[in-house]
Amino acid sequence: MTAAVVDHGHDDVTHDAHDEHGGGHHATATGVSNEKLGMWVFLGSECLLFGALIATYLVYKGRSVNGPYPDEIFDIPFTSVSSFLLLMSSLTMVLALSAIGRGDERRLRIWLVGTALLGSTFLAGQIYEFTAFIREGLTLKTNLFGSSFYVLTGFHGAHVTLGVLMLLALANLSRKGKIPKERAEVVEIVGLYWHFVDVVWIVIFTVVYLIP
Amino acid sequence: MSATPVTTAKSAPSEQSEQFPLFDAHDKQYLVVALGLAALTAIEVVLSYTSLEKAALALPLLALAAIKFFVVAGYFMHLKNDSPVFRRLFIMGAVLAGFCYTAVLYAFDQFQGPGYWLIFIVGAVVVVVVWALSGMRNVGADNDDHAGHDHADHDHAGHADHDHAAAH
Repeated sequence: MTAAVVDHGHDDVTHDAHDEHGGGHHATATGVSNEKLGMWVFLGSECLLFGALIATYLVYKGRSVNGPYPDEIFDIPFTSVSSFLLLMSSLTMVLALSAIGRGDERRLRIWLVGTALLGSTFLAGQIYEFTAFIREGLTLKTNLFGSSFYVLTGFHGAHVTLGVLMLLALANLSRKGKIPKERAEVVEIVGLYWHFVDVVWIVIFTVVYLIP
Repeated sequence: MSATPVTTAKSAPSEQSEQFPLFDAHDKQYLVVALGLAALTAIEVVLSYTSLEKAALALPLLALAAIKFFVVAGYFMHLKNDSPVFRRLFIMGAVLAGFCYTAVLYAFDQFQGPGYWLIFIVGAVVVVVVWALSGMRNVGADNDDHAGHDHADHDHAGHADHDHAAAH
């Protein structure tokens, strides 16, 4: 299966794992794994979903006739720390994938649980932020800013929640010995979803919080 | 009675992990990338506290966000080294979303003043360059993909002895 490495020009660890165990996927019409292809198609469609939500936020931004307004309530240092944690969760996720690529199941679980913890901390920060905003009078129905802000960040939070559940499920499966090295692609697919959630936040953090 | 070492089921995982290094060469690259991303985030936050005008501030912030986006997609999502099919699908979704919602924003008069047009033009150029570079890299990879597929078929037919790797 050395040829698989040459065929795709791959040099990352997941493919090393695949190569040793029959190439990771059977021959398909596209020459790539159907599961992974499915996840990429899903992520491509998610770009459109979040694009719509971000565009809606931008259209409604600055059109609220009553407060509170973004500049009055955003806590940039707090959100920056949350963003940093989510960014670092992408690192722990890729380290989990690297660990299973080496066949190191124990470290796979450590990094998966670490990623889930970082994601949960981000979610806790978002819940705290929402609570603080509601105390200051910004609800879903207060103004256009409130509606578009909560829908956008709420959808993202729902995606993070789903990601955390998938990570914990993976860690549990690994504990039961159901994710050996040859099934590294399962971790890779969940990792793709997690990294996508991270890249979406990169855009949201800049567009919603940092640009005045 | 000789003292025979007993390996219990619980001790096996820790022994297993001792065989592996904490970080390999790939992991060190990921750490460097993560540090770079953290530094870019710090620059973004510092920039947001400067007293630049909205349009002047938006351009560097969006550029930094785009860099972070492509770094995460390229290195952490392995788009840089993975099959070109995945890269095309993802870029297609992102490009479609970008152009579709730019049109929406234009329809709602969100682009007022030269600063916004500059952002739009720079964004469009970046997307086209990424798309073009992706296409150029795909030419050779596509051929290899087909060869790889053929090779897999050969494996199933029991002809795995051919040294395709050397031929490539």
